Amino acid sequence: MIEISDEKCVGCGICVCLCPVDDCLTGFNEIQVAETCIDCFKCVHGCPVNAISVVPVAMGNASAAI
Amino acid sequence: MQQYKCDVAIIGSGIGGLAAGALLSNAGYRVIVAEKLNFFGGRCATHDFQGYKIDTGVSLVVDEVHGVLCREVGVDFEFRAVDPLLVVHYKGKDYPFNSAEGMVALISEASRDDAEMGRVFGAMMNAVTWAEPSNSMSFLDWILQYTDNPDLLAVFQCLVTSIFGLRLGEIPAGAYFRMVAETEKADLKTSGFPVHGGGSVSDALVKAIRAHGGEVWRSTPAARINVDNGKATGAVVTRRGKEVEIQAQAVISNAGPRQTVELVGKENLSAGYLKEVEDLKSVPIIRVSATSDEPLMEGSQVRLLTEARRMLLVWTPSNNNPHIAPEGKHLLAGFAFPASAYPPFDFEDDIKLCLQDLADFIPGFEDRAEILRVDTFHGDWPEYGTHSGYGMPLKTPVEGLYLVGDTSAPLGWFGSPASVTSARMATADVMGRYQPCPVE
Repeated sequence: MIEISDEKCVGCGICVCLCPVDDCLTGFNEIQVAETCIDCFKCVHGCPVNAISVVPVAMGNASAAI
Repeated sequence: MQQYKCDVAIIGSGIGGLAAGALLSNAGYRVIVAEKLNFFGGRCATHDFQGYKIDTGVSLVVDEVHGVLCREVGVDFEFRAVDPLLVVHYKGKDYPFNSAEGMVALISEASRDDAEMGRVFGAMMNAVTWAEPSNSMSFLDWILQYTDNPDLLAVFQCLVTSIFGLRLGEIPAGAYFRMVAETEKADLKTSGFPVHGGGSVSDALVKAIRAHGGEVWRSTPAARINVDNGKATGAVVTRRGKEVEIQAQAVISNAGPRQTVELVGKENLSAGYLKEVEDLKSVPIIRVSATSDEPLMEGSQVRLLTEARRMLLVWTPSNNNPHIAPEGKHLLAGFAFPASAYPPFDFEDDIKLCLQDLADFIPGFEDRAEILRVDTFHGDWPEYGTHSGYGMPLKTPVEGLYLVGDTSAPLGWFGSPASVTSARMATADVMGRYQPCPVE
């Protein structure tokens, strides 16, 4: 899954434009991630200020999701 | 480690890096451009969002800068000129920004009497054609010598901030007048919009580099710029998960000053240079995109709002251009600036004021328009990389390492024209010092 650093994010909205899922990344100035994220990581590789990072899902949480 | 050889390695594919790559490859130099992000163009790219074209930065271009560059390297982009592109909206009327007559009429309207108008306009003409004010004087200090009329100050605040993103007290007076003089000298007169968004300029330049045998790689972050005995010898980049070395006679960095310092290593740079980079201040912006079923404004001009609190430039890019919005929909774009270009910023408050400005200026805005996006740019992803008048030199202390982009252009230039100008200066210097190696 991805995590957005509020400290690094400048609010440029590029991640929102790159995201292929409607309403996955939303908001102005402070961008939020929804549960509909499909882990395509386009936002991670398109963020100009490295504000988005990939974080591992804990095993317990992953199996709960299945 | 896999190795590639070229004449010039270019780090970053903003319009400065791409312009340098296109000019050099057109002149027979082998170039490799490495871009860390998954798209080319940096702040000169266009993304599709819900069927609307949203620019990452550059929206307005100048044919004598962007068009001439592209045609010189054998490519083109669809361009629509608008004349006049910029109009100053003051007390319900539009005044063309690009003509002396327009400025005379505007200053006359905002002046208390003919004597004040004559004094201010005379001082402006003197500053452009004869004695440019020194860089130690702000525009506010300069104008206060001739008037304290709040209407005139509001007009100048709008003119200066809409171009440089800085308030009257934040910009050297010389920067504004040098810009006017440079625009005249370079005969920049044909402005307008790329029909498919600002990014089509970058797309054209990528095409030019590839057509001349150069390489342009996306998703390829640089790990370091190699320096041997005080000279730049290339770079190490990560391509498809593996580190590869690019060996080159010279390196052009379009990665921004701070990132360039990280890549080259502080130990290879002088203390004075590092301090200059540390002291750099960027220019923030707030960009609003609003959609509607009918155009929210007539015409294609960019209107500079002299009476607004934050929103300074508004236009409707979808008017006469079906490529910008889905069928039957329209797009309004607005550029606004915080109360000061110096942090900390209160964007939440600024955005509220932006929307109030739009509601005041456009009849029925709240009922007719829907806000599509509000994007903020500052820090390391700003409107401009430097306050005008405080940029970096084109050459770094490392021999063979150039810095291009909007931070390294001469005084008077700003934005993407500044980036293109810096690329032209860097490539001219490269061509005077290095010869293209024969292809192995």
